[in-house]
Amino acid sequence: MTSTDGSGATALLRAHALHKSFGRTEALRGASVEVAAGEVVALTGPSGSGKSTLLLCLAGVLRPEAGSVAYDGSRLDDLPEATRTRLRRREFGLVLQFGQLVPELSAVQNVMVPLLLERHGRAAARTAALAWLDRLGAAGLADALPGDLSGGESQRVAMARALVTGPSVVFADEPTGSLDRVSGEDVMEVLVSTAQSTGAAVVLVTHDNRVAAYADREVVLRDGAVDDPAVVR
Amino acid sequence: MSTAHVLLGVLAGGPAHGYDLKREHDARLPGAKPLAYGQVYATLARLERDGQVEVAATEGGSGPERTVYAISEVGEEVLLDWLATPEQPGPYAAEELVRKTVTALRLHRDARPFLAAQRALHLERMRALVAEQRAAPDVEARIALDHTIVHLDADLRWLDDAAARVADEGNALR
Amino acid sequence: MTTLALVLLRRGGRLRPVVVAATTAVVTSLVLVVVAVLMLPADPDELLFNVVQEPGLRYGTVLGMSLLVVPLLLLLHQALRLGNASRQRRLAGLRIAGVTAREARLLGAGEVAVPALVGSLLGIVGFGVLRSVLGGGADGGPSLVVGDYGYSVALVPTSVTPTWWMVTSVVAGVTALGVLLGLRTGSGVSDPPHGVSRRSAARAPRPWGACVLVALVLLTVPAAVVPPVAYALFVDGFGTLALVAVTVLAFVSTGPWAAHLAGRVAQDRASTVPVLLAARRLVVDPRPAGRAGAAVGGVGLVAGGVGVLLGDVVGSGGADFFFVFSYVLVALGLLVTLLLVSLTLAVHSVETLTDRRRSMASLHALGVPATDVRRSQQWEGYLVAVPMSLVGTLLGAWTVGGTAVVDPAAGPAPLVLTLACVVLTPVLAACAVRLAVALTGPVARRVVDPEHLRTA
Repeated sequence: MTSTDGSGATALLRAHALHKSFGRTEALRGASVEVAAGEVVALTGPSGSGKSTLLLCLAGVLRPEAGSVAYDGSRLDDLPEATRTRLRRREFGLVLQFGQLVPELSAVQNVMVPLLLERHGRAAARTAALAWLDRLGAAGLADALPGDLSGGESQRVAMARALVTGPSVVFADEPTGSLDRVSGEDVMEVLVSTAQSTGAAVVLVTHDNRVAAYADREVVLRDGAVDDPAVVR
Repeated sequence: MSTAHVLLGVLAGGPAHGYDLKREHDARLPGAKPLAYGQVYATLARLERDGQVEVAATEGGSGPERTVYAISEVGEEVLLDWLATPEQPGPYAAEELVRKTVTALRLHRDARPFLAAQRALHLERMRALVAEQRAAPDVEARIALDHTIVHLDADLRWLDDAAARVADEGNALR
Repeated sequence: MTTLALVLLRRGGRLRPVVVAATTAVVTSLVLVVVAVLMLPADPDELLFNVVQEPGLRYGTVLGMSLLVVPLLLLLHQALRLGNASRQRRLAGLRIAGVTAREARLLGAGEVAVPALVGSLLGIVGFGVLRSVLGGGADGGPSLVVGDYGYSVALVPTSVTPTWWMVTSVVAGVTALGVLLGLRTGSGVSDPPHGVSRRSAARAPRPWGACVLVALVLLTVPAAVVPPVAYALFVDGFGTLALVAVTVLAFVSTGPWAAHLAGRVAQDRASTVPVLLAARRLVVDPRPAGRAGAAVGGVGLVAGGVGVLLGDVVGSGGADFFFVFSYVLVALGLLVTLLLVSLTLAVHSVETLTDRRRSMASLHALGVPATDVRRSQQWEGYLVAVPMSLVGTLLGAWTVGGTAVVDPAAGPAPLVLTLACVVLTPVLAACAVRLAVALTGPVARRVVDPEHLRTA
């Protein structure tokens, strides 16, 4: 598997030579990656290699200091915060390892949030959210609070929230990191098969090879850049 | 070699002939090396010699003659014994991967391109296995594949660790 | 152990000890003033403003000053909850490292006792400052000149001084109160030596307080009709005191129930994210906002009553300096209370936001604008403060004025002033909420930082 680029001409998401630092730590040093529509890409690499930072830059959450991120042919890294926020909620979904659900909101209310932002109206939002929970096998959890859900159940709710707006890309940062193998497999199965059926691309950060094997393609990061073993450093 | 035991296990479910035994064996252990016909018949011959299986019938017909085997009481005992005994945890022989990497490093050659290429190949295999597992019809098949996947994962982790150690070494030398 | 306690004190963040010290300081000063007023002989050797000078009015003043302690204690209580989650993790870590449950409780208490004691001691200094600024004296201390007359506006007696043992007991009492509240809010910290456990919704608050309030209102109906009942309840010193005490308690316990109710009503109608977040926060944890709401309701109660009295005075043409300045004092007290309530709300917001930074940051990453987070805080405040202040004001106006407010014989003044209070108090309450949200603006901006999305 080559690691740097997908099918260049049809790339939906394209990051070029990204640099990003946190204080004195250089998380990204010239990382480039492309993601085609409907593709499942795994970002892997050792801890501190910049996988999560790259994911958040691709998702328009973090802003790189240098380099560019383009979605659907136009740059998103230089958009103002408000525009990026709107882009994120229409085009992207995000699943984290844990702790992303709002603790006061029930499962179905958590899933309703992106729809309410798009002014779908209460009843319509609730119907759509319930349908998604049902689709992800979490219909029985609709009225449970996140504190009462198991790790796997929380991830199902989080995935429903990420998928409910019909995003073009779902970003998942260690989605199975807090789960045992079997629950993790379950979550990956649901994420990948649902994304495939809706045509969404998936960008996945993981250090678990079995999770990475769900992806069509793997991009290995090392020291903030895409690892190319042919280049002697 | 426990092929004999697996075959006894199949026969414990009912009499079968050699061809069925081979097919069932391979279906039960997806991801493992398929059984050769020669091996099936050699094993059956040995089991028959030891009194663990018996010839139940000989089917004639238009094609070649086929012998149907059944498990004997002795065979059942041997099978239950085997199921009740835990396996030795190792040691396992060094694999070709380890031999190649260590040899390369001893010659002061850069092992990283080899490790990266190997990783890509391993992950490719992992991807195929995971796909097979996702399509697997029953839990037994998934469990059998788990074993292969977990071992492959161990190799992959070893490859990652080796690459990290080689990189660290390279950084330290610079 | 002492070293450990000091390390913990330094690690626990600065806001909590500062607020604890500040509130205990002000409470101590206030209580010392109350003690001094109570020590005054019937005929004091100094000139003070009438409400302190005249024995008949003194008890009302003492009551008013004591009521000011209530919002201060609410603020103290809220401040003690600051950083509870991280303190629990820290103490749980210590428990795993071998600290016993008793030692953990002691460490927790020590974290409160030190700032509370420092605050109480500072309160003595504060009392001294109050004495020199607002103290009376033979010449009447500070005074205001209206027309040809100078009026003393001194409120703090200087001819009597609390004895050393009084001061010591006040300092000890306030410190102990702080530690007790701290132990109460921190209970559970020392229990199981595990990490954060799962948390589900606490039991919904009960409507008993509201029932008592309704009963009180019903009681005012015969009072409005039968003058002796009215006298017993509202004019007689003891009756008034009991009535005020019951009303305060009823309000404090109504707050959480009302907050819960407001949350339930709003969540079923919420069609925007801020309203939904606010409503759910109220349903799941109605107590902090409810207590603040109760204080706002109390403000409304007093404001409503005073509005009617003021209307009465203006209507009867008896608005002299004594009345006007008394009402200014009451208004100042109410404004200070509202300010304290907004500080309480702000402290509560800081707490909830910091607790939820990961989910808030992930909402932002999902496309929830950062301003929606702040708007949800505003809604949380509005949903409780506006109805509570409105009900409080109406209740106050009804209790004091009854149907007299609309008595055509009294002219338009009572009605106009009462209505002004009914409108103004909720508006001021809403302003207090806005102030609280403005104070926590930087925190709201920080919690959505994508930094909190990182797993490490």
